Amino acid sequence: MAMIHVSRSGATLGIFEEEKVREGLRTGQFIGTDLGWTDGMPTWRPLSELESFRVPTPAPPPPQVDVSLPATTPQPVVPVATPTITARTGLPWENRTSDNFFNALIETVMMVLSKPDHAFAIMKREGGLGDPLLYAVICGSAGSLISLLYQFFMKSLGMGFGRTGLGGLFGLGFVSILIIIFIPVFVLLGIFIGSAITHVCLMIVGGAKYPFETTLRVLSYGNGSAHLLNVIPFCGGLIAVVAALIVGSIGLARAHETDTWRAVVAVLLPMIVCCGGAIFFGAAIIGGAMAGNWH
Amino acid sequence: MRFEVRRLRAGELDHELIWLAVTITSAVLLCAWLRVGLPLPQCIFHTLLGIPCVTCGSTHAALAFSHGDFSGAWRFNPLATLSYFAVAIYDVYALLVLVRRRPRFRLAISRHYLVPLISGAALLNWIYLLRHL
Repeated sequence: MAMIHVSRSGATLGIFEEEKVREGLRTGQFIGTDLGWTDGMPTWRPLSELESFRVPTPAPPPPQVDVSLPATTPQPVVPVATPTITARTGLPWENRTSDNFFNALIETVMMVLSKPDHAFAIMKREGGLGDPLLYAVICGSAGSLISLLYQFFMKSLGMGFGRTGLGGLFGLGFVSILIIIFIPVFVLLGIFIGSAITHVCLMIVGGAKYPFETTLRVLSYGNGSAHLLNVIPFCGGLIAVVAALIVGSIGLARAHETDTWRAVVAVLLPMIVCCGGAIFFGAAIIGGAMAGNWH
Repeated sequence: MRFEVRRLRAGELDHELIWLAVTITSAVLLCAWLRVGLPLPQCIFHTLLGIPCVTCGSTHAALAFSHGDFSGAWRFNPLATLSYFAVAIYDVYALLVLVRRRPRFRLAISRHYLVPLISGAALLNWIYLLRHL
């Protein structure tokens, strides 16, 4: 018997046998507007529209002829668009197996950076922090490390970006090594603090329709992917920051199902109000900040 | 505003554990950062415009706070100082409920309270900083 995934308002209600869903519709446990999905279906659809649960209705009587209209008047044909709801089947990273670890990582990076709209429409809103944080740590650490190596290389050629501020770290030797070791910790702290600030901002603008975990997932995948853009020489840090803002805004809008302007304001608000927020956000994309490329 | 005391639900994020870990790790890293003499981040807002931003003085307030100089911390940044008090109280609470496996406090604040509360506090803080820094 087919197993039906049922969800309501973005929250998964569970996986049920077809008969249980039919009974649930009778008893009121489920309602017709709850979304259902089963193997072979391209998208989630309201339960009432699924073939298995459709209540047979008697054929409506033919409409009466409107005598006020001339027989030759053509009736406009308005195409009725059926809203399709993309199933939150999860990003490739969330569906990885042990033998396609790197493929899933690369697919997720490509999807988030090239098709963020689609990526965050299928991203799971909940399901634990392990997957998104691991992704953010891998990508964030890799991006930061690449950025640091570039910086060392430029220094060795006498083309450093100056020794002021964070750029001054690169002449410190032992401290630089310590910082490299602690990069994953910096990335994790940046993700948590950045997500908290962004979620509060999203609440302020009335766009937080789902819990904190959804925001953290968006920023983990968004910032993590954007971080890898540090691989681009010279301006990688700046591009990574801009990409993180764009992907983050799109991600919040899709994941929280809110207006795009609310998501954009939520992402930019900390920077608009105070540079402290910018520093926290920068911590999430620490590679760019440490490279000093945007000074 | 809704307030409740309850056990963690299955699959619910353990916010107490997460934020206790985040705040303590941040504090330790900040101390280590300062101890080895690494540079403090410069305020871009202050550099560009010549006036303090809402968070200017937060690092100095944190240093004063960590030395128990609460009035000094207040002078640097009142809102940051209040935030540090709130974090300290939250950490004590989080440690207690985690160690003693007690029910958790959950507070849901409506946006109608949140917006005036945060923007009002930020504005008052900024006015103070503009007059004193």
